Amino acid sequence: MRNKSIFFSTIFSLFIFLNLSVPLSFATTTPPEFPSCANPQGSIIANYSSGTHGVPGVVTTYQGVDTVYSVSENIVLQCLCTVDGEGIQTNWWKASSLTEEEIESFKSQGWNFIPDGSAWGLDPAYYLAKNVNYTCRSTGGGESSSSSSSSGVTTTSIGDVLGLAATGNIKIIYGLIFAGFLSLVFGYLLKEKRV
Amino acid sequence: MSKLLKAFGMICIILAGVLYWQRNNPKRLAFLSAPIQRETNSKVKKNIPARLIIKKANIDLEVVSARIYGQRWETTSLGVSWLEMSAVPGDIGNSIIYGHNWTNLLGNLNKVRPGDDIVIVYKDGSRKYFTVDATAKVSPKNVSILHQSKDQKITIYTCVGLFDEKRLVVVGSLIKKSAQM
Repeated sequence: MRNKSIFFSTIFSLFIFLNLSVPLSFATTTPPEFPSCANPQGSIIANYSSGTHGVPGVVTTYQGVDTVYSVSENIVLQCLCTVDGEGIQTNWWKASSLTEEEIESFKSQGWNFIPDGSAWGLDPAYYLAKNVNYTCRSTGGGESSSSSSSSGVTTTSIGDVLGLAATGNIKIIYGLIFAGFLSLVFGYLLKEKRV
Repeated sequence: MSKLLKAFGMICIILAGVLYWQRNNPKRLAFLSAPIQRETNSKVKKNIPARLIIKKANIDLEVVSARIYGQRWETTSLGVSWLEMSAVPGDIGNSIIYGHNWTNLLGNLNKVRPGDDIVIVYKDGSRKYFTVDATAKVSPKNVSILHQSKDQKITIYTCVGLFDEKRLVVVGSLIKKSAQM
């Protein structure tokens, strides 16, 4: 009976862990899918081959190339590539149809609320903007940066931190099996010793 | 203490099982749907890619032609897969190459940076050179990363993230000069 309860509590804990690794969203609306700046889609509405550019939600300004694409009526994609090879993709979502509660929920998920898009050269409407890192080929001659070294824009997910949950290295899987069996054996032996 | 050790042992074994299943899951490496491809005049693609070389990441792998059957994207453990329905590397369009994130395959793809060189060796021994333009981590729902292009683009990707939830994509473009062996 005790062994069964240990087993089921283990399964339950693992289930909770796996579910917590997925971001929780209480909004009834899901954000649209945005293309990636690695292969941008849509029509170009603005293109700056140089200059100083801002990123919503970030105090720092950046020197580099900035291209803005109109993907659909409510979706705009901004692809900034700095002189250092740091790429910042900003997903602009026209949020006019969202409720205040939904906007607050998306803000808690990392979206920046922009009350007036015209300040950024877009339509005079509410926007939600989210920044995502990528790496790009700079024109400024600097070395390209890694995707995690952006100032003020971090997209490190739990998957990046928990290297244990990667399937690529078979040694990690063998190591987990070995550690698991070792732990089970020690647990069994400890129990036997007490008896 | 003994209960704790047993519970930890169970968690490790279950996690290993999940990772092993995911590693061999035929649906991994798939995107949500097949990429949109432009109709080409030539039904027979000549001089298909045979080898992928990225020196910076110590990648030197055989290229095997692959197709999509429903949600199953053909994969290989011998090297990387070139999606037959995509452009031949160097032709107009987006040539799609993908492979497992195993240490001996594309596990080092995360070391690739913009400006690095990609070399494709073809069946006839010729070579073409590409430069990496961008790298990004995308969701498998983001099929647009594989869409066709008007230039000569190459897209190489593998799985990344917690339980391979995302795709690490390297996008490059053809360098106009190419060398003949």
